[in-house]
Amino acid sequence: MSELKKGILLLLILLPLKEVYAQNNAVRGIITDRETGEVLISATVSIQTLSGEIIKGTVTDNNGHYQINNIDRGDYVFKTSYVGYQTYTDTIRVINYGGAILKNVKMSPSSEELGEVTVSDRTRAENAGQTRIQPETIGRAPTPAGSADLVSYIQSQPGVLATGDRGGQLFVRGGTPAENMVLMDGTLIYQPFHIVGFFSVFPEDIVSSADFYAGGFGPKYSGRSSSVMDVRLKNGNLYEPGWSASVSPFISDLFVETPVKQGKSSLLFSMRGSLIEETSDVYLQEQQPLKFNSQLMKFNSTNNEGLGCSALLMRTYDRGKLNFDSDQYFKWSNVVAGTRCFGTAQESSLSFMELNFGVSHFRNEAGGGGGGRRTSNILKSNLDLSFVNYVSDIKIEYGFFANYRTVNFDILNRFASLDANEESFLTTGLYLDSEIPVGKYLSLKPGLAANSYMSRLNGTLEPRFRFSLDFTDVFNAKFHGAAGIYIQPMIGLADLRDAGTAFTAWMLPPNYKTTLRTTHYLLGWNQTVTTGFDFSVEGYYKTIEDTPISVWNPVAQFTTELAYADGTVRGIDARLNFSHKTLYAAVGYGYSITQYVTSQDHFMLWFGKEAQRYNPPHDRRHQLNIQLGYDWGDFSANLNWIYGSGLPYTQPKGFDSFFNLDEGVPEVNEEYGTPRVLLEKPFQGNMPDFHRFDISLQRKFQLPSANLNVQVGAINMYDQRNLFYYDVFSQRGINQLPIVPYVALKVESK
Amino acid sequence: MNKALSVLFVWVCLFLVSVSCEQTFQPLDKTDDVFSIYGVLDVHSDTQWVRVMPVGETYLPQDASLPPSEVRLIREATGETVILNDSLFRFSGDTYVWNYWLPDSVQKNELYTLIAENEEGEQSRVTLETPSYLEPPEVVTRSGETRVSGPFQDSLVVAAVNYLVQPITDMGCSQEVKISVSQMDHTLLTSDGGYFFIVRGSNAIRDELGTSNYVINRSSVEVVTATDSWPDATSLEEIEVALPEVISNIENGTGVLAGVARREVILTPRQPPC
Repeated sequence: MSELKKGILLLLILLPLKEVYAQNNAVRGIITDRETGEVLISATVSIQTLSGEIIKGTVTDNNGHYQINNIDRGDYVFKTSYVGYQTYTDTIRVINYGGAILKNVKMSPSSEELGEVTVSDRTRAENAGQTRIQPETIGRAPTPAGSADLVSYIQSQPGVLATGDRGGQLFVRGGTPAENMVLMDGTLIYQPFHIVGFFSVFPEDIVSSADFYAGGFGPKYSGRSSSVMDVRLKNGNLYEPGWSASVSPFISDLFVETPVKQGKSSLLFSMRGSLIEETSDVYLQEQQPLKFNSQLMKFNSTNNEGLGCSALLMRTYDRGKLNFDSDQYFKWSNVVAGTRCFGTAQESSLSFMELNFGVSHFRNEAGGGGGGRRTSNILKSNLDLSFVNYVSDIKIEYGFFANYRTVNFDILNRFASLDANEESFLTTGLYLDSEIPVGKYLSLKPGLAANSYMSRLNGTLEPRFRFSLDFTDVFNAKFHGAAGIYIQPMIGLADLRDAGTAFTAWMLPPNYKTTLRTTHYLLGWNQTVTTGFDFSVEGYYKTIEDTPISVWNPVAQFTTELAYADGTVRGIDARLNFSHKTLYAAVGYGYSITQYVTSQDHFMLWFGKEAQRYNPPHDRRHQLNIQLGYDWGDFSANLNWIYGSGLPYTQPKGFDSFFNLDEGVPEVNEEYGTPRVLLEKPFQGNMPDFHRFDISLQRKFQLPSANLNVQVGAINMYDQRNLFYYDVFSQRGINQLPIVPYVALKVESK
Repeated sequence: MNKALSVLFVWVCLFLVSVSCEQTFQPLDKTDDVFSIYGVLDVHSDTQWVRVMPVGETYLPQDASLPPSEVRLIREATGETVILNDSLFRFSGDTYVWNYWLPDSVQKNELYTLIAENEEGEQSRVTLETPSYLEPPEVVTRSGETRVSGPFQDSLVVAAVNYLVQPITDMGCSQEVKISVSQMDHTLLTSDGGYFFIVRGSNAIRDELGTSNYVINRSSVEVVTATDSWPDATSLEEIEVALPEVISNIENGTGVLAGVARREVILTPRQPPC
């Protein structure tokens, strides 16, 4: 029996267990924000005796959903609390009939200022590799815009590498950009990062919350092998219209939200457009040919019975050059449409259910620079169904999904042996995740994902296991661990011989022979030292099999061939957070070693060995980030300093013109020959270290009918010359942005 | 608290100042190779041309003031040494190279050493043997076929037909291009030390030009024999041929200088371009 069939059988055995659950008395529901209908994650829910003694408690999950099981017959106080919201209290009566009481709660925001425990309470991660990001934390990384951006914050996380301030490529713990999954209300977006590295399609105005998994993610996320960014967008306000508009030399944006039917449905609209191309001539004394824009519309509908539905439509466009002096250009666009419905019901045997349908199209193009035009398109439609059930206190989450993809690409100008191609294929699969409490402190989370590729690739089975040891009550500490297999059927082929690329061609592995496969092992420790002061440390080890790379060529040229490498990534990420009243400080440090091994036919002649071990160009050994924030009165200041050790690159050792005698006698008087770069063994050199200091100062003005935020700041405050990449042909270092002072204005409704 | 904040602020500033110094970056890890040398010593030519260029620090040498080096050729049997003349060549894109020439022939079956030396006294050198003489190929055209044959010693390294052709387009005649069509893959080597091939070319020209509409302004048969100074790359992939360490007989340098006997027979006399 194949592994896939075993997995399906296991799931079929487990699924009927949902019937067992119905025998216990339970309270369940979804906790939402009264004004927007957005779910509240990590809200505390408890059942207390009438005298105030806590009987049982839990916190809401990613869907704002909770369930408390095995409640004896009786009258209780039901209580929910969440930082920044008014505590909700009610009484409930449990009658011993073996069913569930539905208790959906709409919580009202508190008029009190958020306290100093806000950060740790609302961003506490529940799993290894996970960082929970709330809108209020996004603004801690200065962004040269009126609205902060999620990508600026993500880049400040240890283990996350952005190769430069343009290109929109993120590497997470040794994985490549094509191995990251970014979900927007459950629908995949292929390239959410804009060509100017400070910006993405996620300004703070539209982000409700985000879970960033640098590894060790559960089986619900299938199909990518490095990281997951699961972003939940805000809903529009159900009662009051609101708006904001901002402008800076880099970008302008507009945000509008309005109820459609009071308390029932809302509409949100957001659009952004870059200005840097227009302003750079005057502002930076250098033309920066970088342009992007994005538009988002989201409709949300909710009812009192715990059912919510939303639909979104997004379009993005990016175009520009990474080397301003070259005629090489990159372009990409996304069109994403998605619907999501979720709910819970008292009568249902299911505790929670969710339906996702989405369509995501990504088009990518590169050309010029002597390299010819390359194009890649991918269209993906997906249908996902997820369910949550309880068997006693064991939480079981399972689901089914089907994806249909169509890809076409023409990359002959870069990968000479990959013929232009178009193909479609269907993927179906299912997953099972569970959470098993063992004793008071331990929680085991075994899971499994099974995929079938309808004969195009071998079916896969991906077991994943996570655990949490929660000693919060004992000494304010939590330990997490994860191990699992992650298989990526689609490869995103990018020529990463240097950092100066932003083109990815999506395809099935050529010849369907190799599939990118990684295993993750993580172990982490979160410790709250005292109120407002906590740290986390996490070690990780990853193995990588069959990641696509470019063939090493002794002659620097545009075209290459496809080869594969195996590798390992090991490292440690540490983060220290401190907040006291109006002061916030965070230090993040990441240490990582990424090592690949590749065998290529010509290595015996070149090196005398069949295989070569090396550190790929995204192997950053040390990364350090310091953030400081201080609020006083209507002012707030944020500092961000980031340091990264130099990245590997291939050093040239000389240049000549080369004649291939296979083509005849060298005609030295008639021909120049083929220009040749004599290269050292690839990736043996190191680029200079990278460091940058960004600062912003903001003041809020209360106007009669609106609030005005004025922000002044500077990117690269001490004008460090940070190398983006080194062009061996022109022998020029392409630098990142110099010091860029800016003023940003934002007006928003009260 | 204010004191703690001040101390923290000072430390942060000191730290930032200490790290903000510029790091030196040396992108080029200069090779020990001194010169790149390409060319042949042809026993049938009355002038020898050799490309000798310093292994550069730029992708395309665009400096016309690049000083020439001294290039000398030593006939090992007699110790006779001659200095080659230098000529600066300019190619498209304003790239400049030095070619060195000797207005003399070289002897067959002899050892020669070519030494290139720069102003600092750094040298690249190559010692090679010249081949025996090669008879001009016998060309017979019969029933529309052109048959080429002849005896040879040493190694047959080139059997080709060279064309000067002009593609014809709707706009008229395009620019003249040179196309060399190797005949090596169907050349027969006979047991009595001869070679034979039937000229094939039209398909290769069409593939190269992307059209079958063209005119041939000149064609010739070229046959070259060489000593083992000519590298044997028959078993190598294209990527391996480009490895500077694999295909080179130059000490302290890159490239190839080979001893050859080269013969050419005109098939179609030169026509003026259309």
